[in-house]
Amino acid sequence: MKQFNTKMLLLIFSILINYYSNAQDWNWVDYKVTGSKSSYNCSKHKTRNEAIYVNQKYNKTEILKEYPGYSNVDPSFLGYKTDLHNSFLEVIKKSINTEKLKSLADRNEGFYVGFDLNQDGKLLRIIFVLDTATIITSDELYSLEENIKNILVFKPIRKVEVKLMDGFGITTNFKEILNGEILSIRRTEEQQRETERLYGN
Amino acid sequence: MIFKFTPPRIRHLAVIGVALSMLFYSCERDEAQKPNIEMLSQQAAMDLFFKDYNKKEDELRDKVVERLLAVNDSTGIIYDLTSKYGQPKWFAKQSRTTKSDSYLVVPICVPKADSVSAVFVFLEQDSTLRLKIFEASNPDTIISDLALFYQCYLFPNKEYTTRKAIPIQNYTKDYTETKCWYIFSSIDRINWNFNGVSCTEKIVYEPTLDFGLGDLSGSGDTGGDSGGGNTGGTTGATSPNTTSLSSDAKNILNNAKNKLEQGPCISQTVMGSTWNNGLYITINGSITEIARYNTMTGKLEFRDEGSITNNVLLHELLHAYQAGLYGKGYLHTRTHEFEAWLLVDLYLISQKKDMNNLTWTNDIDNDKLKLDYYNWVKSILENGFTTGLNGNSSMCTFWRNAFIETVPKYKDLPSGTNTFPNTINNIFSKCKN
Repeated sequence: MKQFNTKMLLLIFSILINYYSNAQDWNWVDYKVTGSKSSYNCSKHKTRNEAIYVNQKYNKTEILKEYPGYSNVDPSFLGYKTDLHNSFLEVIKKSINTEKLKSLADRNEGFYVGFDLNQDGKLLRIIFVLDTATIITSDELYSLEENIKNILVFKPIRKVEVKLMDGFGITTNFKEILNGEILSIRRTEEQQRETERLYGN
Repeated sequence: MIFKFTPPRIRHLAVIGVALSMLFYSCERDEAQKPNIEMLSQQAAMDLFFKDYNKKEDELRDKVVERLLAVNDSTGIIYDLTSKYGQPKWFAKQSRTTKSDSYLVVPICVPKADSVSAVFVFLEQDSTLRLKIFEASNPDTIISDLALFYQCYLFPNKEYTTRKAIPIQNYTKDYTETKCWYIFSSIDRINWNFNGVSCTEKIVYEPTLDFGLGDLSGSGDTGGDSGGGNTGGTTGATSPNTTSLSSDAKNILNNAKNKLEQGPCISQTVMGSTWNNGLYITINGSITEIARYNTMTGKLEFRDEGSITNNVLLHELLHAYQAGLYGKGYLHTRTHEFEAWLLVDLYLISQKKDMNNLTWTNDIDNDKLKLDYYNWVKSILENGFTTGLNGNSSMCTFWRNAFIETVPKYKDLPSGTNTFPNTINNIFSKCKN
């Protein structure tokens, strides 16, 4: 009886551990969005107003095999220097028409785009975080991706010899975009200049 | 973060010699048994650990127990030790004092078995306490024989089968005297082959595990709000010794220091508590890490000038802060390491960095987890640690474990049972206003 109880306890314990470790995933709903040009893996958070969109062509596992995260390789990697305030606005205007931008601004929709970059600033992967009820289409996301690849440029603040991956992101909303002034880019680029002044080559 | 390695010293060897001198029995070792402790509760582990302990029988032993209890508050070390090794036999007259060191030898028994799983040697050096663990399962028989001898001392009637040791009884009372013993082995329990003589000088004095347990004479602040800017540890303001740095390195270091001092309260607090607290900062091109901090000596080494950034400096200074809280050479657990990474992420988010600019999560192959972590750290920065059903505290264990899975180089650190970031909480307590 005592042994049985112990086994039962272990079973319950392991179920609880399993439940707990999966609890994070249970907050998300995964599905696929397919447009005329590409498909996106989408994950919507159940309570937060956040939906992640990533083009399904990317394989992060493979990317990480070649380019491990900077903190495991060289925690002193200084990130990237950019001059993309205006070019980012250009990307948006080339990808989403003005009427749609106004609608997005009226809906007060947020916009985050993150870039996985290698040690030389080469673009490896793009991730979007949008509102869960966004009206941005997958074709518009595809267009954004294509224009990002053609227009935005990233250079490391300090070159390193090892292969690694670091990231860069732009957090904004469509009101800012429509007004043509992205605060987070201004701030980030100011920080980049200071980092380069303090630690750059 | 590194563990201090104590080089072999003759008086350390004598610790084993004295331990052996207590034994007058032939003895054997079969398979080194591991304790079979099924899901001990914290309280049950504490009860078992101190079952044989009686206060006021031995001054050093009382100090050791007091220190262990203090360290346990932040690390859960007692649960770890009990789960891994079993029950200490705190019998009297285990401690010895020399001119410079005091030490306490405690065999650890496997519950419900006539077996010793390890021998703990608590060594007091320069007012700090170290725990050296000699495991019975150590493949080096010179080391594992120490556990074997204690096993025979505690369980003299156990049947011998494959190995036994007969201490050479012609020894003097002077503990510094070389101690030697005969080793015999057998495959049939009847015929015993003489293997040779082992002496204390021959022992490679390298235990299976070696932990710092902090300052014996200190106050033993264990993670509560210690108040003020000084976290304990070294007293008196002494600016860092940077004499070995080039002028370029000094400039870069100064830039990093200024950035942290001008940063948010969390970085200011860490700087204020550690910078003028006996640091020795140097460049060491031979280290494999980008930087490391020795919690025993206060030495902070960068691999090269390029390694000096405000993020790297903040990470290492958090370890110095921990040494202030938990004592020099404190037992460094996975939680302590996670705290250093978490602090840098808190700092980065305070600088408006986003989910793609944090530290260890770049290696996570799951965007949902990355975003969840970002939101978790952001909520800690904005609200501190919160409890309740949706409190962010409930996720501390999850994220610490995710960190260890993602940055596996820290897997060798002791797990500890306390997963709550006490150090970060301590820093927040100083930033409330």
